[in-house]
Amino acid sequence: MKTKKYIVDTTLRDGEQGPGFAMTKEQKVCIANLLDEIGVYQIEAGIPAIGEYEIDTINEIYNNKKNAKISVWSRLNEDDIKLASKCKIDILHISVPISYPQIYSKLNKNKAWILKEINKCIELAKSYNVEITIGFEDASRADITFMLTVAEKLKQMGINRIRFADTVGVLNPSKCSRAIEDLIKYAGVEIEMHAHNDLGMAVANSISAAKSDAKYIDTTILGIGERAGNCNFSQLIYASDRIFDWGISYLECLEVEKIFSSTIKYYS
Amino acid sequence: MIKIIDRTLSCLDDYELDNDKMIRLLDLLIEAGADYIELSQKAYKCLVKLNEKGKYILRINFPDEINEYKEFNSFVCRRSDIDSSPAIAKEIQINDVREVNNISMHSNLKKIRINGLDDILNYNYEAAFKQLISKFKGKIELCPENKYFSATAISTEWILSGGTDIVTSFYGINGFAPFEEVMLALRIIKRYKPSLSFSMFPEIKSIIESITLKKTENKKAVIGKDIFAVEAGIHVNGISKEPKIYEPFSPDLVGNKRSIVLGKHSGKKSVILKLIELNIDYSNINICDLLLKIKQMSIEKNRSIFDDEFKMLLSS
Repeated sequence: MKTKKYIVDTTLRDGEQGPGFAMTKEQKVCIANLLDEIGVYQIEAGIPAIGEYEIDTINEIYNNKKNAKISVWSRLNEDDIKLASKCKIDILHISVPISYPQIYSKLNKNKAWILKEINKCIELAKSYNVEITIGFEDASRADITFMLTVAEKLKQMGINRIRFADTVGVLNPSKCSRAIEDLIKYAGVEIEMHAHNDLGMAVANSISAAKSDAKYIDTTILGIGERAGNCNFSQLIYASDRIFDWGISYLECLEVEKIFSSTIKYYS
Repeated sequence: MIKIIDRTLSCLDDYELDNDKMIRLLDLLIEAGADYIELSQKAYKCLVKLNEKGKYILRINFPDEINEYKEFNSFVCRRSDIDSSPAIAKEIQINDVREVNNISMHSNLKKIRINGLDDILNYNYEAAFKQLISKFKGKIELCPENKYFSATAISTEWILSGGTDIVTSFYGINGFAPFEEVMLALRIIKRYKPSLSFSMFPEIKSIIESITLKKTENKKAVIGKDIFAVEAGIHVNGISKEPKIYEPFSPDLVGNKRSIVLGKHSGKKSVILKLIELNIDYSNINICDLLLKIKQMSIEKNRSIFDDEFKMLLSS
């Protein structure tokens, strides 16, 4: 019997972040409806911190939803979380820089600061009464011991799902498997895999993650996204539907791609 | 020891071959780090003279053909058997992981080329690879097919499992593991650096496009034209501090350039960097207002905005 897995579609967030795309509210609502209709579990609708137009769009997506959970992406700061509270959502995703390049070079902070900010942000997010998921940004280059420490603390704070993000696309399947197995085994959290395609391995890493009991896999339509893009939705389904029950057929994915390509233009 | 066998030049038989282009392509693939270049007979006839720095494998249709090509030491052929020359790698197809067991049927051969295994990552691939290595004592050239978008990953995991020889084609022509992806993956994961730079990739890409008349996707991993264009404010900010924060490898390494694109996801830093890039004095510009206008224009136009549109916004 095939194991049930869940798609988290991030076309409207990480996909749109790829240069060349700027979707209107109407286009995003249309795409969200399509994904909802074919049975995508969760739609990451956008980033409230972009502005009012984005918040309106997210709310419109939520108003039109049927079954899919609607989520937004937020940085690890209270301003972003307050903006997220203006949105009608099911899930608030908070992205936590977890690798040393992210913590030290990007933010000029340290691990203690990260832990403190996580506490503050989660306490604030909890006051909005939505499900919270946490993303480990650049997890593929992070120290596993630190990730396990943070994962255990998150579990104690009632966070059940962690997004394992291969932010710069440098993972390979066996390394991906080991990290995810450790997080599940030692921290007892559910894992959502977020792969990038810089080395052409996003689909393979996502399959590997799913085989290692990651329950949720992030994808984008046509694999759009930063640099070489994200895990391609239809390719993932095609490559793995003999072993996983996605609840979505390859033909349905192709239909979504066709409509997406005719609705949204890519400019390079 | 890792060996990369590139079969790009044996994948172009359906096209019109130009001698100059083929010679240049051959030179560049060798420079890029291909240990062996596989040639079809058509490609060999077109090339006439081979680069002395290269090592070559000739694709033949029948084992007896090696007598016509005494200048080659290595061949690959589907039809060889135990009585054929040890210089020939017998090419076999394995499409199902359960067939891996059958490798012992070929245990008397000196070398073998395994095509297929495209969905092996769905199964216990590490065990399958160990089985192949333990049951076949000769040389295995693994040539994974890319039907399930995993050929690069299969190639990488083969090497990590103790395999040595991988067969690729540039851009994954004819459905094999893309040479450029395998080279970068092995560089990053195994620190395998047969070449200090891959700045020749754009030229290789261009030659192949001119032969096949097919354009490479703009976002293709490693060689896509647009993979180093960056718009998101968070990413621009990170890259401006330290490119490694958001880039797996430098654009220079693969003969590309980073570019800042303005649009819906831009932040103030992106705007400032663009102004600096365009040599515009921004001391009297309200960056926040300008950023709002950029986002508005981007949404209206349904895309990122071009530099001349940005300049128009400045003057308005």
